[in-house]
Amino acid sequence: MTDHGHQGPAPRVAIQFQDLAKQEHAAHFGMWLFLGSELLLFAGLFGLYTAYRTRYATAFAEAVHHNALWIGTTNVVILIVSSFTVAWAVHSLRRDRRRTTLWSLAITMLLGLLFLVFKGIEYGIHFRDGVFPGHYYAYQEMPGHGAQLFFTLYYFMTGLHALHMIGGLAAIGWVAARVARGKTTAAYPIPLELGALYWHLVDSIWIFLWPMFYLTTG
Amino acid sequence: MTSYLTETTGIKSWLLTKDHKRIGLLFMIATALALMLGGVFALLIRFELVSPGPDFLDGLTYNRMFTHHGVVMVFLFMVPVIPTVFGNFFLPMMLGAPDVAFPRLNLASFYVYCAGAAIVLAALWFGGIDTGWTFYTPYSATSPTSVAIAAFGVFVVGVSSILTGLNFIVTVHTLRAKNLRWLEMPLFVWAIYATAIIQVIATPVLGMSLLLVALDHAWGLGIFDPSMGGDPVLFQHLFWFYSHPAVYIMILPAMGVVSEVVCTFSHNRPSSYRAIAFSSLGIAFIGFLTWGHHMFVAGMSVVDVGVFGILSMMVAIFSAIKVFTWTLTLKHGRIRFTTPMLYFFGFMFLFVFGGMTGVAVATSSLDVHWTDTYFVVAHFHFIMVGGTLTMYLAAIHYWFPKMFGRMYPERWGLIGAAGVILGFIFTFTPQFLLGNAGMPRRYWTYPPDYQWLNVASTAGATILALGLLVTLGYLIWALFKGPKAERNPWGSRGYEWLAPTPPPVHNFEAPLEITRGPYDYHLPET
Amino acid sequence: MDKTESQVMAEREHPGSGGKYVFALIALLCLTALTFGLHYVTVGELGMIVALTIAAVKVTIVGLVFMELRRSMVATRTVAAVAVVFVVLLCLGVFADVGFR
Repeated sequence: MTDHGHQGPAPRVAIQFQDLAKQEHAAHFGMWLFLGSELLLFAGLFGLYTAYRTRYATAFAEAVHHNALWIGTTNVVILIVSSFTVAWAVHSLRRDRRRTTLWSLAITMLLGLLFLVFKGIEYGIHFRDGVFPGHYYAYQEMPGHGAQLFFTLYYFMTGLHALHMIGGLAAIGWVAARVARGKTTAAYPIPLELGALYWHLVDSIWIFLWPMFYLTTG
Repeated sequence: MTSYLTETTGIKSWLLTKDHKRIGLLFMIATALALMLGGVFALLIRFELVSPGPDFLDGLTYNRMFTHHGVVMVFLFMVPVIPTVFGNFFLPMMLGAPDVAFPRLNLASFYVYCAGAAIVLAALWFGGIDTGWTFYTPYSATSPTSVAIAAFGVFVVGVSSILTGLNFIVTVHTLRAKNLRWLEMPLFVWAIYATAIIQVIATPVLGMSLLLVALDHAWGLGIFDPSMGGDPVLFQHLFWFYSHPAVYIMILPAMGVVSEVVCTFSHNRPSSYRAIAFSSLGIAFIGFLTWGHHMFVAGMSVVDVGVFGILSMMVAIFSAIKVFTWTLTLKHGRIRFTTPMLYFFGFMFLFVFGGMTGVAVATSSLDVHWTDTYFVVAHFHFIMVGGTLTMYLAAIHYWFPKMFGRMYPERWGLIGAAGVILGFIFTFTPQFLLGNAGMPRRYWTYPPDYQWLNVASTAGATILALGLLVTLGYLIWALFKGPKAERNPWGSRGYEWLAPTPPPVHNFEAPLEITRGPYDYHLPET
Repeated sequence: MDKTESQVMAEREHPGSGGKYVFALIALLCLTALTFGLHYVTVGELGMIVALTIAAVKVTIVGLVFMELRRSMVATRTVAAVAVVFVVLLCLGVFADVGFR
C-alpha cells in the first residue's frame, strides 16, 4: 500500500482480521478497554475517599493543609504539559517528522521523571514529619483517625498512581526506542498511539487526585 | 485431513499454542481439576456435618474447608469455566472467524490463570485460609492464616479474567464475518459478550479490594479497621461491587448454552431472539446495581437497604424473560431427549427454583431471618450448581463431537445426568429447610434436631459426586474409544457445526459465507 | 451514523494541523489556574464539588482532544463513558450508605 506515501513498510495484517483498518481499530479499542479496567481499579479507592471524607470531613479538610500545595500543583502542570508533548509526538510521527517525535517523547519522559522526583521529595517531607500509612502513622500535629485515614488513602492513591507513572515511562521509553530504530513509523504508529493513550489516562487520574488531596476547602 | 488436534504434535505445540481451540482445551483441563478439588472440600464439609458434634475435623480446619471450597469453586472454576473453555473454542467459530482478536493475549490469559491458581493453591497448602471466600474485614486482617497470599493469588486470577473479557469484546466487535450483523449472531455469542463486559468492568474492583485486604493482613494498613477509624462495611461494598456481578459472570454463559441447546434439540428457532439477546445486556447492567443485597444486616443505611432490595428484584425480570422464551421455544418443536436436553430440563427446574428463592431473599425484611443461614447457601447453590454446572455439563456433551470428533455414549450420559440432577436435589433441598429452621452457615457443629436434614444432604452429595465421577469416566473413555462423529450429528443450524469435525486449525476450510441465520431450522442446513 | 474503521484510519493518517493540541493545552492550564484561584474563595464541600467539576471538564478535554475520542467510533466512546459511569456508581452507592446512616 503506497497511498499514504509514508516512510516504512506497510504493516502486516494478522490472519484473524479482514483488513488493516479492522486490525488498527481492534488495537485502539482493546487499549481503551484496558484503560477502562485501569480506571475501575482506582474506582474502589475513589469510593473509599468518598466514604471517609463524608465521615471525617473536618479532619480531611485540615489534613489537606499538610500537603505541599506547590508540589501538587507543579505536578499537575507537569503532567498536563506532558500530555501535550506526547500528543505532539503522535501528531509528529503521523506527519513523518521523526526528529520532532523523538524530541517530544524525550521531553515527555523528562517531565514524567520530574513528576516522580517531586513526588519523592514530597514523600520525604512526609516521612520526616512522621506521616506514614496505616498503623505506622505518627504525625504528632494531627493525631486522630480522620487524618490517619486521609494519609493512608493519600499514600495508596498517589502510590498506585506513581506505579502507573513508572509503567507509563517504561512504555514511552520502549516506544521511543522503536521510533529511533525505525520500527514504529508513520506507516505503523500504533505502539506510540497506544502508549500515548495510557499516558493520558495517568494524567487524567492525577487531574482528579490534585483537588482531592491538595486543595483545601476554605 | 488434519484437524487442530493433529496438525502439530509435541508438548511445546500445545503449551505455546495460539490456537483458541487448544487454549480452550488447556482451560478445560485446568478448570476440571479445580472442580474436582473444590468438590473434595465440599465432601469433607458434608461428611463432617453428618453428626451434630465434631467428627474428624476440628473447628479451625472446618473453617478452612468451607473457605477453600468457596475460593476454589468461585474463582478457579465457576467464574472462568464456560467463557474460557467454550467461549474460547466456539466464539470465533460462531462469528466465522479464524481465531480471537488477540491470540497471544489469549495464551497469556491461560498462564496468568495458572500463576494465580498456583499462588492460591500455595496459600491453601501452607496455612490455608479460614475467613470464608468473602474475606470480610476485620477478621481477614488478623486471621492467623495465609490471607495475604490467597488474596494476591485471586487478584492474579482476576487479571486473567479481565484479559479474557477484553479479548472477547474486541473479537465480537471486529471479527464478525463479512455479512454477519449483530442481531444475527448466535445467542451464545451475546451471552459471552455480556459476560465479558462484566468481567472487564467489575473484576478490577475485586482486585483493589483484595489488594487492600492483602496489604492490611501483611502490613496492618488498617483501612477497614475500626480501631483506626476504619469502616469494615466499606470492604463489603468494594467486595460485593464485583462479587454480585460475578454471579452473572457465572450464570450468563450458562444461559448462552441453554439457548444453543434448547434450539438444537427442539429443532426450532428461539421464540424471541431479541428477548434473549437484550435481556443478557439487561442482566449485565442491572446486575451492577444490586450489590448491597449482600449487606442488608451489615449496618448499611436504610436508604441503601431499600434501594438495593428493589433493584435486586428487578434483575429477576430479565431472567424470567429468558425462562419464558426458552419454554415457548419448545412449543411446536421436535424435541429429542439427549443428555444435553436432560440437563436443560434439570436447569429449568433448578434455576427457576433458585431464582425464586433469590427474589425471596431480596426482600430485605425476610432476609433478616434467612441471612447467613443455610437458606442462602441453598439459594446460591441452586443457581450455581443447578444452573451453571448443569449447563457446563450440557455444553461438554453438546459440543463433544465437534471438539473431539467422537460421540459420548448416550445411555451413560443420561445416567450421569440423572445422578447429577437427583443428587443435587437431595443435597440442597434439605438445606432450604435447615436454613429456614435457623441453622447458620459456616457452623462446624449444630444442635441434634438438625441432624436428619444434614444426613439427607450428605447422602445427596454422595450421589452427586458419583454422578460426576461416572460422567468423568465415560467422557474419558469416549475421548479414546467413542464412535467417530459426523460433522453435524445434532442437525444444528449453528455456524460452528458448518466446520469439519474436528475443525482444522483456522476453523473453516474457506472463509465462512453466512447465507442464513443460526436458528433457521425451516431451511436446510447448508 | 457511526464511522467505519476505514474512515477512522484514514483520518488518523491525515493529521491536519496541530493547533487543536495547543488550544487544548492552553484550556487545560487556564482551567487549572481557575481551580487554583477558586479554592481560595469557595468554602466547605461546595469548594470540593466545584473543583471536581472543573477536573471533570479537564479530563473531558484530555479525552476528546488528546485521546482523540472526538474522532473515534461509537464503540470506543462508549467504553470511556461506561467506565466513568461505573466509577460514579460505586461512589454513589457508598455515599448513599455512609452519608445516611
